[in-house]
Amino acid sequence: MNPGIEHLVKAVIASLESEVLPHLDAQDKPASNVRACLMLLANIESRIALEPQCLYDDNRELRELLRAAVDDATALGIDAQSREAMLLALDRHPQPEMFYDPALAVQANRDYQELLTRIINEFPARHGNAGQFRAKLHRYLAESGKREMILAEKALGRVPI
Amino acid sequence: MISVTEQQVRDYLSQRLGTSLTIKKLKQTFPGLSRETILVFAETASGEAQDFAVRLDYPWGGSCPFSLRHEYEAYARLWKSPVPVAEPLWYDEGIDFADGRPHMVRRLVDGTMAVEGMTENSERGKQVRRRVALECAEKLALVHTLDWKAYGFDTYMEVPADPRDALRAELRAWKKRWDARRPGPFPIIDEAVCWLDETLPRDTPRLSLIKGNNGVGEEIFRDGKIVAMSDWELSAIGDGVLDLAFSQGTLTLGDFGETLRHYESCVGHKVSAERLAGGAFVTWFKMLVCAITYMAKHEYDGIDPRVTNLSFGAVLAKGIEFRLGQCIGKNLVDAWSALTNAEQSSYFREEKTA
Repeated sequence: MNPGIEHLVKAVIASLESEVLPHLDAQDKPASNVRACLMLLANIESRIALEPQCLYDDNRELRELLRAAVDDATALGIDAQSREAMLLALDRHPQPEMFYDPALAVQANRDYQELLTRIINEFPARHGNAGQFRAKLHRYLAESGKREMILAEKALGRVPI
Repeated sequence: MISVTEQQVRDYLSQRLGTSLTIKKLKQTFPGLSRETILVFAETASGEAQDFAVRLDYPWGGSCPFSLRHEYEAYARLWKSPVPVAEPLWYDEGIDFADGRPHMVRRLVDGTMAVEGMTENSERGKQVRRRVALECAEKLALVHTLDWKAYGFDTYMEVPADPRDALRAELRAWKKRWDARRPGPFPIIDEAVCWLDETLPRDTPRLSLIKGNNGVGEEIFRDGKIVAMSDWELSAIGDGVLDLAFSQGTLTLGDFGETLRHYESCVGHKVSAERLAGGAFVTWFKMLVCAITYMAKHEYDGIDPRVTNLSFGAVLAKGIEFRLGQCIGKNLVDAWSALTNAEQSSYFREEKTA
């Protein structure tokens, strides 16, 4: 029998909570380390259950946003070389629904986020002529933050210190 | 878990002080996220008690943007000022003690970080908390009205060119640290900085010495008064409102309006809502820089093995990122007002009644 990963994580959490933590001084480092481990384990639990959907949604929205940036490159002040790099990145990774390998979805997300970070930091024209793009960017960031919070919420209920 | 032995501490302090000491107890302070602080309870050959705090970089360095020397220089100057601090004795590095790690030694102050009655769920507890908040505000005002130039803080700290842009200057200084060290893409944080750079107010009335890290747990109390302000590792010259924002819930222990008015009467000027909001957002950005690029990144890079620091950057930072994500693009004060109702003192614990 192979117990599911969720079951294994729950078992470790339960053991640390009931068999280790009560025997430690709450105001000392070993207890703090155990609480930090419990926080990370709670995060792992949430990520196992929810990250695939969050990643799918994030990648889908990021592709839309980057596509909007590529389409409006001139107004945003994005030079031709950078525009080309964005197109390559969008083509390198398939549409979100075509991912079979979670690791590839993670890599795509990282690549898209790096491109978005470049747009934010390197092309200030987006502040001026590109008001529409900026509004889309802010809407995406608000939604992205909510997704990150969904993954972190359970863990945030545990504080190491 | 203390990184130096009792014998090493005894021999070192005895040699530096020129008197033979007997160590009665060593105690490492908790939590010690950025540096290791060891409380040394000792006595001389004649039985005189001599207690010290030895503060060191960890073997992997400090988890903080500023050096331990930076912190020591603040103590050395403040010791001569009206701001109460523990007496700094010396700073050293590159010697045999602690394998050459940077360290500073100061005298231990008689007092505690905990304030009796503060966590009581009673009218008495409520009054204790109110007085703690007012006392902290008063001491911060003392720091913010200090003539930092006369005490030489500008000889080693950066000074913003225009007081009105003090908040922006602080934001940009920390953005440089963020750009140099961020361990991957964080578009929420980067766009939040752009938004803040555009919207921060320009009404800072004066440049102040700022403590950078304050609240209950960072100061030493005796009989309800702060007798020593500790932890100056993030000290800088800038807008004092940043200290109001980084009080770790202490200034909201009582009624924040009353505490703020008391601070204003002590510091000699009003604090606008725009400055309060701007200070809060800049402080949250600084917390992210510390948690992600100085705490968690050291763990990612295999430098710092502590899982606690990883949890700060990998999980706790997400809560701040979420808040920023909901605020970007909005009116600064409106965004801050919507969030601050959720701010609670992180030092409030319900005390079990007997």
